[in-house]
Amino acid sequence: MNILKEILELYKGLLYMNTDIEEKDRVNIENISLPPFPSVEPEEVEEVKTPSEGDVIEIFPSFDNIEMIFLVLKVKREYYKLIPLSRFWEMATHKDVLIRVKDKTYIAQTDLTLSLPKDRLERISKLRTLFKIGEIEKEMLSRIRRVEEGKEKGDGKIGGGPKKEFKELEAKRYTSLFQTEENIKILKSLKEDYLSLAASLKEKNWGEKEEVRWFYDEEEETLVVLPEEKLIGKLKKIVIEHKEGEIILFAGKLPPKVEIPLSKDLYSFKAMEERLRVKDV
Amino acid sequence: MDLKTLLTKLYNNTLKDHEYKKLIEELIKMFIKVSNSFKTPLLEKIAKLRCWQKKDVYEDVVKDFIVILLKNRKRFEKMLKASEQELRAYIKRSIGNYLVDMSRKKLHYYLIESGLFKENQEEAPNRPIDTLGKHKEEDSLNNKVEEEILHKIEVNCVRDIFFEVINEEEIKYFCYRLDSKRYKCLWGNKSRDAMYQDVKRKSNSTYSKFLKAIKENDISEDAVREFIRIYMSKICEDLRLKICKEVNKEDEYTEGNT
Repeated sequence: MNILKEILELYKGLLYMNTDIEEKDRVNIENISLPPFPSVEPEEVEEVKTPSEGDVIEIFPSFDNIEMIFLVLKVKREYYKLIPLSRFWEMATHKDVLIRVKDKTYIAQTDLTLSLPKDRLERISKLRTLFKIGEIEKEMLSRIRRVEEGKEKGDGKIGGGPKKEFKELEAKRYTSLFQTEENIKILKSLKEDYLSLAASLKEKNWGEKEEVRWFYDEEEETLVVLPEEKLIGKLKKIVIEHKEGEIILFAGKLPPKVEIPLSKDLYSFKAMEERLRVKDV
Repeated sequence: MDLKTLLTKLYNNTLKDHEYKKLIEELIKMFIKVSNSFKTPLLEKIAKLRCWQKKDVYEDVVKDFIVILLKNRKRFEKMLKASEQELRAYIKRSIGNYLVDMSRKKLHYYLIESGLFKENQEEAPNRPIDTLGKHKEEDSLNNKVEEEILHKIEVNCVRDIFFEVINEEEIKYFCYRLDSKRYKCLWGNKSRDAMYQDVKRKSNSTYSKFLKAIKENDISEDAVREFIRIYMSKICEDLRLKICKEVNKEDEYTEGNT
């Protein structure tokens, strides 16, 4: 029996749970006795627009079935350095730190650090709510920084097996933070431009250039970007350059594999070949 | 009456008895549906998720869930502004999260209460979690319990990996390292010299096999050391009792005398 596999299964069950299911089947519920109506003290959370260092924030509702909670590690001029938290602390690796926020335990996943542009978070907070659910004490914050910088080890002692798969799935979740309507429009117009240039050109699903390789998974409609090994764990951004600037597909510590959801009508081999870049944040 | 109306009334604390009953009924239906998505072999065995079917159990669970909804008042308030369909999706997601957390707590409880950690009973947390998986008050301020469970799970995983890559024939080379005299009997009637030769020939490749698996699974030295400290003597003793004829005879003799 492998306990970690069991917990990974639970996590995956939740992540891929279909919330559209209809209760068509009849369930026979007879003689329900009413439990006494509970009296409850509501949890203290507050809405925030511009979080500060040490704050633990939640983007609500989440982009998927599991909550999206972050620790604000640093507030820079143009972006926030965010560490994704997960309550699946059984999956802690050498890069994760166990922390307590109010009465719940999380792991601060320092290897999944993101650099989220301030205007992006602002935009997210207009469509969703940003809750501050707690804060981390200074001492703990410094420890997390040390682990993040690789000066200290985290709390887990295993990094492979089910924990590795968990990390890959977690890394994938956060790329959705970088998707915007505007990005989609630009990618669409780029694809159209290239198509009109070479209508007969067959789209290739993979390519390679300096510092990066990519693969487009048509079935999953996902762009998989594989940075060179020397870049893994470094703070970088993956962008598509265009006339007016760049589209950030991902920014943060580069995992070995960055999986970006991208529909078929947005993927263009030529656009990738000519415009995909890995840059410093 | 749709779910949104019922939940809005719950939020405003204006639910009448028959509406409260209707809400509980709706939630129970959703619980049964969602719980079917979470079935893992171990949970089937220990948590018996299907026990949601039993009225008394799911009534308690649903009540507990309502408490969580009310506790998350601000999130709840936001969701009440959404459409009926979005609200239903949110409730299902919340139920899924609730079930997963409850299953994890049951799993932690099982790990502590079952024999799994008992090789080192004195170090096991002393019943830190009750049957519903709630923490004792004194442990709720830090992560002591979680840290302990995390490390027990990890050491247990090293043990799983050990048995995955090392077969019964090869365990003796690890026991030899532990105590070459005590475990000489694992080589049967072979002479000391023959045992040395065998160890010399095969032990390194056996250790390498384990080390390779350790590396592949990115396991730290600490965890391996813990595994050896907690489990190795027991593994070797079990093997000794199984294989060494003279030991078995000795045990029979001792038993007969007592």
